[in-house]
Amino acid sequence: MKTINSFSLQKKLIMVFLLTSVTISITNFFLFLNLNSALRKIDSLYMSNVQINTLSDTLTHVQESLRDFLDTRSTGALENYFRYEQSYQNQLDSLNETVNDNDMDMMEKNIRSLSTTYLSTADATMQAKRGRNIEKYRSSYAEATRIFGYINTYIYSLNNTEFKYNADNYNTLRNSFHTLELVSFLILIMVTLVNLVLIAFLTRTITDPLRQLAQNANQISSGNFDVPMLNVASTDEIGIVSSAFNQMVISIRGYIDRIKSSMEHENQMREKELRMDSSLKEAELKYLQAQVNPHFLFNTLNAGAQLAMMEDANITYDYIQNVASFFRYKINRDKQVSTLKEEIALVDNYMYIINVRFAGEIHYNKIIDDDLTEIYVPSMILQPLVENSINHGLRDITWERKLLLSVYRVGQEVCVSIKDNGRGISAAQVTKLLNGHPEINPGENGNGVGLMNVVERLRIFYNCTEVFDINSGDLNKGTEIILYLPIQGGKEHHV
Amino acid sequence: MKKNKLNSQSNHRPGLSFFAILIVILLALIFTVCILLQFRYQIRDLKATQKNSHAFQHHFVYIASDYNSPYSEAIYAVAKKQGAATGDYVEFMGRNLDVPYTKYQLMDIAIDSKADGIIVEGDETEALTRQIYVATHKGIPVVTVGTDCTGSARKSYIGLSYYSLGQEYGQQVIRLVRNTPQDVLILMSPNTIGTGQNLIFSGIRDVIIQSGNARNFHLSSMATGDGSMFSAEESISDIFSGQNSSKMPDIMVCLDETNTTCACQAVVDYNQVGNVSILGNYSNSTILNAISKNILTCSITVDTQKMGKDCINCLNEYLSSGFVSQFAPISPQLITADNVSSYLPSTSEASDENN
Repeated sequence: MKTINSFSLQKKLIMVFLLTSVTISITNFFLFLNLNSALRKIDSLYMSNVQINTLSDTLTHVQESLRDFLDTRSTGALENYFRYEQSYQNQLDSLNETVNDNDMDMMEKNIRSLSTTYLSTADATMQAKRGRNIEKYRSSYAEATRIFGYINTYIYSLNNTEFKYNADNYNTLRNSFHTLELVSFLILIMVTLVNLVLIAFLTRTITDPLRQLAQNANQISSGNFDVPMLNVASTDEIGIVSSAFNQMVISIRGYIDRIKSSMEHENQMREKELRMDSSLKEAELKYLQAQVNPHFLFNTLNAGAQLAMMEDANITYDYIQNVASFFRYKINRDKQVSTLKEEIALVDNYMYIINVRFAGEIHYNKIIDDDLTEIYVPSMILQPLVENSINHGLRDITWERKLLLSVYRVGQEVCVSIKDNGRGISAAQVTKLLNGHPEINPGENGNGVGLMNVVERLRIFYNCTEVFDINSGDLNKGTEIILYLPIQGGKEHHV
Repeated sequence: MKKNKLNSQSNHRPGLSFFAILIVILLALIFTVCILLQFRYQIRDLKATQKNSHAFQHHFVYIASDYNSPYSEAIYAVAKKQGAATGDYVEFMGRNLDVPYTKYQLMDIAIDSKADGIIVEGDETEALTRQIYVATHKGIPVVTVGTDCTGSARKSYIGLSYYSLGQEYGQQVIRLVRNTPQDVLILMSPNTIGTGQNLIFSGIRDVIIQSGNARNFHLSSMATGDGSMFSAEESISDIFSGQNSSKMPDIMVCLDETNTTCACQAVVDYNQVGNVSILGNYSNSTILNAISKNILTCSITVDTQKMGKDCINCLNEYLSSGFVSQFAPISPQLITADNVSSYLPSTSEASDENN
């Protein structure tokens, strides 16, 4: 069922206009109808008196023309008599002839009956006059005159009775008329008030939602998006605008939420990148401090390699070439990410150099699963660990030095193990390292690029904490550092 | 949650209020229409009142000697009521005319207006006898009521037997006998001059003589006035006035209502209560009160209910069969101080009916 709220604004306005117009029209129509009826009634009230007076006049004319004829016997008087007699006869037809209990009706009946007797007597008089029967027409005329008097009395009395009756009716009608005037006035005021209320109501149904809409719009324009939704109770134009406004508010809120989420994500990414950069820069700084000037060294080493090749010193050439490669890796590295394979190659170079220093005393072995070396990892994560193993584990031992680099897969992770048979780490120190509280002084040994730097960069890179583990049998029983590199994470990163 | 939060203040679209206003408008319309229909009904009602009448079969005319007399009013009221029951309209001729016509003129009007029947308070005049003849000649039956028109062509007479009425008066006069002879004045109505009152007078005289009281009562009669207006009251006042006080009777016998009422008032006005015994006629509130106060010795009345009904019944009987009894007797009723109380309520009822 269609309710009023489902009408359009135009329909509502038309409906109210029609309703008020029809109400006032009907009221005016009824008032007009009743006033008109009352006026007609007033007009007709005394019509009966007018008719009775006309009847009396005609009767008088009949009597006068009769007497005139008796006086003069003129044709004019005769014609007048017949004319008035006919007219009187016609008027008598409108009088009551039935017997009823209405006094005025009975007076009319008596007038009619007396008039019939009168006219027949008058006719007899005329006939007697024509027949020159003097005695008869004189007596007939006297009889007619007597009846004429009775009729006149009756007409007079009827006129008075009707006048009294009509006057009573007129007074009643006047009172009703005054009452009608008052009632009409009250009705018009009432209809006007109701119409005013109706129009005010309709106007409010239009302006209230618009006002609320404007308030909400102002709040939104001032930056307060937490405004309550507009209640859409109708489907008119106001309802459509309110619905659209609500939809707009919902859309703006969603858009703002998405922007916030995106900004948060971007900030996180930026923070992560900054932290990566910071760690890398720190590693590089420490590396450069350690290597002084890699470019100079690389060029120098290249020059030395060429010199050794010209002197046919192949071993020297290989050594210098490896050192040069080691530094080339660092110089050419303009990225934060490299493959595991490149990291292993760097370890290989480093170990060749170190073994020259240690006269080949460090037995360096690799067990590599080549299928896993293409994953991407943060740069410079293996060489510092190998360097730590040599500096802190293998340097000062007297037994045979061994270093094993293993790459293998466990589940969805690539495990990189750097295991030595050096001095080992105490359990307490292992615990401290695993908890992120190392007591290693970077300036104390070698290049100072520590384990924690590598661990921090791995955590940032893979966005997880479990990235490494330390195994040590105890002092002088070697140390194994295992990195856990998620395959999925490593494959997603690109150079 | 935020999205579902509605504005409690906004977009207040009171559909119920709208329908409430519609209902108010409808009620206002109904109120308006009711008032206007009431107004139209009132206007229509005026016309309806004018036309609110019932058709009747016959048009009877009642003609009284004095159409202001309560006695005539009482008979007419009953006759009208009886006529309504039998389908006959009874018109009190002359009462609604602005010219005070005499009974004879009203008889002429009734005859010329071709009434279906005439009820007239008769008298013994030649004029009325002639008019009754004319009416009968034109096929209009005439009955006389209260007083008769003996020797006329009237179809029936409804009323008392004059002689019997005189005998009743005579009996009441005898009761007032004293040691000294008393003057008895019989006040006759000029409107009913004729053999009727003479018969009454004869009845009184015969009873007195037969009772052996002829020496105790001196009978005389007087016509009160000449029949013109107010003449009766003037004549009766003259009896009690100073210059005529020597002629003041001991007993006054009034033969109509007007004379009785005037005599009651005069005996009070001239402080003659107890000195003059009044025997009245008819019963109205004044007469009944006078009896209860012993101003009036007694009054002889008739049963107007029966008279009124008999008038209509006689006319209808004649119209239906062509024959009717020439005399419908009505028994006289004596009202004294002993039984006046039983008449007071019935009189008031009669008065109500007249109103």
